[in-house]
Amino acid sequence: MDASKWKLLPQNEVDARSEDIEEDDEETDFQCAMVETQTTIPQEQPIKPKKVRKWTVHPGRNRFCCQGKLVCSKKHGAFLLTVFIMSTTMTLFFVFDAPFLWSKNPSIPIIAALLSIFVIANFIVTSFTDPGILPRAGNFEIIEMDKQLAATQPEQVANRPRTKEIEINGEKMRVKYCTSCRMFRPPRASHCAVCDNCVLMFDHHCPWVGNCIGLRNYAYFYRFVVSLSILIVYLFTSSIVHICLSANGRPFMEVVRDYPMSVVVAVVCFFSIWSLIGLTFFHSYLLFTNQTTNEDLKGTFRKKNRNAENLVKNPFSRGYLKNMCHRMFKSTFPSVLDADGFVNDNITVIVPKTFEKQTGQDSNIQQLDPTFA
Amino acid sequence: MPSSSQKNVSTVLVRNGTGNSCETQQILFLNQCRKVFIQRDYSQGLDVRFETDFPSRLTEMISREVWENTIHRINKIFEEAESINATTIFETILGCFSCYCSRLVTKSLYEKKLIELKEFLRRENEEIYHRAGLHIMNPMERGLRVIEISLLNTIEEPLNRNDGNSLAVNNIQGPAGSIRTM
Repeated sequence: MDASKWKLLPQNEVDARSEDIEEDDEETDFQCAMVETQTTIPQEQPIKPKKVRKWTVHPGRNRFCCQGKLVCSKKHGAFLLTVFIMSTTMTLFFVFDAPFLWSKNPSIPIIAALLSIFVIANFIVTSFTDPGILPRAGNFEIIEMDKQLAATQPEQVANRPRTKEIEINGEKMRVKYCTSCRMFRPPRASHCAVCDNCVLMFDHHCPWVGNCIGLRNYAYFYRFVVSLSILIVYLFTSSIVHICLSANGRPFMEVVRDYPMSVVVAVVCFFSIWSLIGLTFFHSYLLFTNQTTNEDLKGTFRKKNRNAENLVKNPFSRGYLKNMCHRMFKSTFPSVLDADGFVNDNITVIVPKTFEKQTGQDSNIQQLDPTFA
Repeated sequence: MPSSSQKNVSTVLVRNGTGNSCETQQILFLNQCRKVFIQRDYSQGLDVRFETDFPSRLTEMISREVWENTIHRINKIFEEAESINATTIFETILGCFSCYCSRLVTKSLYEKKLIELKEFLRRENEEIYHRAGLHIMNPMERGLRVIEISLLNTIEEPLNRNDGNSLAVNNIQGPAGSIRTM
């Protein structure tokens, strides 16, 4: 390649060309070679990493708030519906029923208020906590894994195993390779189709709270479901009591006309009680047997499947009480997604130069650092 | 995204110190090192635990005892972080009653243990592993899936854009996660 032609170009034009090349990777080799001659200035400073938060480059379908401290799913239609129903029911109760009940016994609305606060707190924490999203494997890790595989088992490079068998507490379990996240999923983790993430100990994607339910927010979710069913039973009975005490033997339709809002509260509660109590019992069962909704739906540990080839009894169960304690009272698992942390792809270490170098880097060093003796 | 010129700088010497003490230090890019991966050990359940086998590639660099001491200490830290005791029960109950406001002002047991882990790895790296040409990366950087050990003396020749590997270079330079399939 003829470099002399390039030296004749005015400096500003060369700069403009080099900027083009930095933006566009598909420039010809010729131009790339020329840029390298332009930039052989020794760089003694470490490259300063750009301060980019991890959530801004997260590839999953998530919504982040407060610099990545709050994580939820991008689909939020059902979530807004839940917020609307919960807030209207509670408001109607506290505006129309609570004053009457307060005059009878102040503790009734106070208990309702405390329960409501507990429900709302658990709801918010469930909706906005990272459920245990596994960050995807980086390119360097994949390339390195490929190189190691090529060195040890070259026959597997072209057709890589999609599953791996591991043993947990004496039971064989199969873990799958996730092609989106490019890694073998840990046991009990699953890829959420809605959020496009692998979630640790994936339970289910709950549209009503607008988030996946996984390792990190299952305890909040369970508390939310239990406290919400208690609250709904409580509101239902309170509004019925309000209607009955106000009736005083008048005909039913007249009472309905006088207290329409109490009737609305009672009807909303009546219809949601059944599904919520069912959900509470279902999750209590899962909690005490240490299963996830996902495993229950797939029947991973179901008795009738136990003789089949790759289905086993639950290796994670340690007894009902211990199962419950382990999921409710453990210190919260850290957020491995670390959405509010900073991206650091080019990790550097500063080490004293004491060890021998294998490759011929010394010439390179001397070229870069002219003061090196 | 680092420019092509920065990519080619794999080692830079920095003069550290004043006067006569002229100690040289190196800045190494871990991305250019070969790696040893220590995988998670699920044989006892889902609690965080890493394989304790001595990786064969480290045989000539550090002794087995040193490695076992390190890996057992790491596992011990996680075992303590995942245990259930009065502290964690108190933490949970306090969180429930304060509507999780207590989480904003107190550090959970797990967070304290992760700080301990970070400090432990920093010390081990400085005192032992850097001298042996190794660097242990905090497993939190890899989502607690693997411990990544970089072999510092196996820095590869910087990839040249003009050779046949230019496609690989383009892949490497992409921001993490932008390429979904390889």
